Amino acid sequence: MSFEDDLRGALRREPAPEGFAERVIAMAGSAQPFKVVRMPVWRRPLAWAIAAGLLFAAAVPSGVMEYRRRQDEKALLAKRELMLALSVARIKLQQTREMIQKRQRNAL
Amino acid sequence: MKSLILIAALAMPMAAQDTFDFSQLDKLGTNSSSRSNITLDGDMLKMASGLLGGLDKGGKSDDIKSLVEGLQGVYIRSWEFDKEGQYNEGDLEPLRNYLKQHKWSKIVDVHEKKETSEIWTLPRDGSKIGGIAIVSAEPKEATVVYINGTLNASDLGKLGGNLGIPDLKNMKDVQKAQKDLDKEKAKKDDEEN
Repeated sequence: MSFEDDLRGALRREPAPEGFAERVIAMAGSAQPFKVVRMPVWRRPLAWAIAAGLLFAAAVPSGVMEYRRRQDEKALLAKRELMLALSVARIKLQQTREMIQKRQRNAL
Repeated sequence: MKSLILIAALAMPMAAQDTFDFSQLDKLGTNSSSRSNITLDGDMLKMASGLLGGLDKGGKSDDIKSLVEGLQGVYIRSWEFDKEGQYNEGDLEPLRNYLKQHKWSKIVDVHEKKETSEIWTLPRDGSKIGGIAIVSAEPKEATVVYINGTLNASDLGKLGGNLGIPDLKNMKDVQKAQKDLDKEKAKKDDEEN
């Protein structure tokens, strides 16, 4: 037997088994129609994603604002502290200057 | 790798020596009736200087901003005592030793009756200095001012001027102002917690 004969044999048209068409029609007739299931909103992942996005968008600016407000307050206190420190430096420099001047006056 | 570790090990104590360890002066304040303690370094100093400048027409804020820009740390320690003899002036020696070790120069040393005032600076190139320290010892008061960072010699003159710095007359005024500031800081901390 040649290869062509094998191939021909394998691809030979065969009749459908007996009663095949009736069984297919019977199954199609008894099949349930497709049921469309509507999920509640709270179970939809997309709804959750949108809600999370909105929450994030609402929370972030107020969080950033609050952080900046606290940083500004800290900076203001730091500035006052710096001014106080420079006041001390000035007082002590002036006291030293006065001590030197007094000494110079006494020396004359 | 070994050499890297060695360099890091050598660099660590050098970095630690950048600023005087003020806890070495704690002994001095044991009998004090009140004290002022200001520490401004790193981020706090940057935050404070960020709010300086461009606020007034006289340019005073700009002057002070340029003065503060090169600074790395500003430290004030001041103690007040009810009676004379409640502290030992020798307790200031750790600071003096630190300044000597780090090649600071004592440019002013005035002694009058029971008062002593010293001004130390860290010489740098040209007209610049790497810091200024003032050590003041009175019978009932001791104060240390330690400013670390690059300053122009002319900045010392600026410090003596107005510059928008609050016009406080003496350390009592300073202590009162600091108490107010501490109260506000505590209030803010409470709000945050």
